[in-house]
Amino acid sequence: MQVLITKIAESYNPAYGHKRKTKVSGESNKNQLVKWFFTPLLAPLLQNRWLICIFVAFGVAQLLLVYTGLSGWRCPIYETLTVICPGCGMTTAMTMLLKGHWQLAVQTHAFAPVILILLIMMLVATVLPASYLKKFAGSVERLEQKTGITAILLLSMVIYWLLRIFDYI
Amino acid sequence: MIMAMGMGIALIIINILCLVFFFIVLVKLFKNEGALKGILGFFCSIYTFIWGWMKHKQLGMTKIMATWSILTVAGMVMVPVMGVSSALLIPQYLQQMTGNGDVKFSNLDSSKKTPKINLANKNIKSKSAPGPGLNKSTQQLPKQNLDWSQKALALWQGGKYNNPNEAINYWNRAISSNQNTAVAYSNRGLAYHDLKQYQKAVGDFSQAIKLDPRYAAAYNNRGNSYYELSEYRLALNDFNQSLKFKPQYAKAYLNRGLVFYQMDKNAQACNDFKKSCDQGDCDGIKWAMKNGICK
Repeated sequence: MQVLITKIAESYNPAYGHKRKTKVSGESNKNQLVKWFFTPLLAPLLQNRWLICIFVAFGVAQLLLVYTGLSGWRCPIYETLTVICPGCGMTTAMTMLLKGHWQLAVQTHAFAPVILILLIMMLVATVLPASYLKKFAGSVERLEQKTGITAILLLSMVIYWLLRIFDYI
Repeated sequence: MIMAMGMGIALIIINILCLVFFFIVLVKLFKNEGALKGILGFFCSIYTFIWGWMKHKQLGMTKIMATWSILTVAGMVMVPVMGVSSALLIPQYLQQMTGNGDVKFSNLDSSKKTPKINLANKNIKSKSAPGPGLNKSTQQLPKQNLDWSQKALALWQGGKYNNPNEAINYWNRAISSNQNTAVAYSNRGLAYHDLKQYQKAVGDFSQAIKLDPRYAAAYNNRGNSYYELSEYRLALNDFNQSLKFKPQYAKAYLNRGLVFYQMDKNAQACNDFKKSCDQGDCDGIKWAMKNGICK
């Protein structure tokens, strides 16, 4: 693959290019959907310590701001349209979790404990030694690929969001 | 009152602009990273925001991200400073004004926004506007990345991309999928070159050279972009570098010949065209002889 790309880059010339053809094998929609469903999302993030740190920093800052009663990151959808987005209420629920009000937190946003687990995973990843981090990310990747847990969670959140919007919850 | 209303209107405008920028970046997120990450970005605007900053150079949205950041900070500062979540109730003030004419800012406390969810039934009071939760970022698998590269390569026909925009899209995905290889950047640079976006092309080739300082093809390609920008000296430097790392590089000789021709150094141009022909590419010398540049 690498060689093929290199050949193209070398063959380029604005005035005197020559023909080159490559074939791409087609992929059915069904396969694409399956692939999409089982694509790991969390594992690649866990492999990038720098990125994790940014997310953890943003998350912790947001929690602290809301916890102390200051204005944190404001959801652009809710602030403008006053329509809740799927993540709306999450920060509030997380602060409730931190204060120990588990029941209230789940009532505010049912996925708060899941996000708390993810946050803890990311916090752990920031301090793990490189070799352990790799193993940890590998385990998460296998879990995501086998179960499609990430896609399931995201789609569940969409359903949960729709139920909230139409006041079923 | 006028000042409060003015600030309230300013806050509304800021919110609307933030929403617009959010959707712009979200669309790019969907296009470049696929539906799963797009959904994640929709859930968590912080994720979209961070992703936007990560990709701002590649996707040319530095100004959008900078403006969005400034507006976000401005919004975050304005709310506690002026305590104007109530200002979002301007329609109510207007109603009061048109009604009794006795305008009172008596509802500052009650005006605090709460989520549409019916919290009253659950004995909960939301003290702040709900924000997006902590979420995760992702990158795609190298295996999937292979597909993007293949798809991009399929567009390369006749020495150029037959659909450069699509090629850029595919290379964006390949690059963002943890394949920050020099060749990926170089190939995306070629797509920008085909679109005549030479500055962006130069940026990509420079990135490729940064990742692989001995990448002769990237020097050659950047030289071509500089050539189109009429930066002949820079182009000449790049072709020299390219030939330094790959002395038998016919295309680089040919391209350097064209630069010499533009610099009115026909003798050196002919010399390079001949060297190019010696390496198997005689198009340059044929063209030069046909046009009376070389004898």
